[in-house]
Amino acid sequence: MPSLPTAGLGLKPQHYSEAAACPAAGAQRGLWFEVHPENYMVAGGPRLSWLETVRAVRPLSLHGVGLSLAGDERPDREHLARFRALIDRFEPFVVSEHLAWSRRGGVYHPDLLPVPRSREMLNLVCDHVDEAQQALGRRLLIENPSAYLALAGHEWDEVEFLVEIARRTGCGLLIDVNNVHVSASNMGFSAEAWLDAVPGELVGEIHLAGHRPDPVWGEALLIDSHDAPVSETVWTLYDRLIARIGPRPTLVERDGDVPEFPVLLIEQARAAAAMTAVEAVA
Amino acid sequence: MTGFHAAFDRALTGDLEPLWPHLEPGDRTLGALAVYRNTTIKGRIDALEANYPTVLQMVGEDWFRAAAAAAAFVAEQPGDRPVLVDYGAGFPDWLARFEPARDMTYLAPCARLDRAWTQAHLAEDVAPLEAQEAAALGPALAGATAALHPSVQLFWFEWTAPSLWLAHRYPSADASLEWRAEAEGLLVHRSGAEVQARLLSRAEWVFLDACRLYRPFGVAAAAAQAAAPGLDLSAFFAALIALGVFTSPSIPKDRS
Repeated sequence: MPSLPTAGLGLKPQHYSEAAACPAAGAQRGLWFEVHPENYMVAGGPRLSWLETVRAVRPLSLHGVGLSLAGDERPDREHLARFRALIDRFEPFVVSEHLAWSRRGGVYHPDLLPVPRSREMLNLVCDHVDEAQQALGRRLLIENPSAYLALAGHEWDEVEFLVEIARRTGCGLLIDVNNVHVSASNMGFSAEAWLDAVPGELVGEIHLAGHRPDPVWGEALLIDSHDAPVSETVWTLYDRLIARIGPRPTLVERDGDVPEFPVLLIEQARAAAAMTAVEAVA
Repeated sequence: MTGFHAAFDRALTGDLEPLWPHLEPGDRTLGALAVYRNTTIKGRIDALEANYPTVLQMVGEDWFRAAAAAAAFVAEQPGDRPVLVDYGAGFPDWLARFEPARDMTYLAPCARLDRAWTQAHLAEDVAPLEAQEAAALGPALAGATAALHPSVQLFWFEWTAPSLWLAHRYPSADASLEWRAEAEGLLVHRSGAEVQARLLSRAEWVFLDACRLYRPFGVAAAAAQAAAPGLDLSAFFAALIALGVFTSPSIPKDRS
């Protein structure tokens, strides 16, 4: 019987064969993989067959970046249909997206853009989450993005806003601990207080990643770059979160300066060990 | 539509004015806006670079990224879909019109072949026609409508663009780096997981081009023989089948 998903990794094309061959033992017993569905919205070819090979031996998570749920346009029907086709084919154990937008007026921006947490935006986001969950036939987990810019017009703090979206739409939350740290550092709030306020029962997945200081502004402006190992600060915040809410499927993300697969497994094993430690206490 | 989204959209193109009322300005505001602007531009340029490796190799990273091509292209054709593995379909035509590239006449043709590689890589999976299946059709094969595999891309150039591109993208093919006014054909297709590319003789190109236009195999064969009198047709056809470039043909119904 396949083991329950514990600590996972973002799946990179250069690691396909190692990912499929990795024995399900020790810290890798519960290893799972996550991909952006957008990278697999193609007619055919080796990408899809490799994903099938990996999926045959490991649980898979689909983590969207292109639904533009916080946009001021309805989610793209064609995009939803392609997303649904991938869900039907690969049967992911979890499906997630972001509290962000990326598409407007026929242009896709490859980024996770912010919105003020106002009543107007709450209504928009909830309509779009409802529509997406309906079209995808799945409950979504919504992720907190990294904040860089002080926007005017916030009527909720971020956790309250996410909880309200979850309450109205039935979606769950994906807590990106690195994004919490980056946002807290950039916006000047307490990451600990932010994490302590999250209702554990809404959290379906956790993300960990690395960040970098901005080349111009240094530590005053942290960038959610995904091109470095998870920082010690973020590991400490992660331990704190799971000590309170219990273990959750946890992903280590790396999108830039991607090291060899075994190097990524070291961080994956650390997350798995943290989860085991929490379970032992419980 | 909301005023905030419209203003943020404008800010991404460099016009910050409309966004100002939606911000709580501080000393890092411009830095933070630059993060979003840089991320969107970098995402597109990275995708363009990944999808046009031969162009990148020919002009070098500085010219490609900063100096001109990529930055100007992504501003003009930012793309409408989040499927970045397929980004930049318009880049070859754009390069052909791009003034700073005018002296590099080989650049746009090589971009076109890079694009063909991407299309073959992402094309639908369809089982190729096997030699056994073709043989089983017997004489009916000549009247059967040919069908090319969805990954097949055919090219005929009056210059040695195919060799030049092969020399960069498939170094083991030992193709010539020389740019000569000599006609060459190229086939790009996917066989299994691998995208393959090989030079085509005139007869091969004529045959496959007829297939591309859904002519019966018999018509394609006659065209190939006209291009290369004395052609050993059965060996020629067997070699093409072995490449895996056909799918099962449709046989016209017996009208008797």
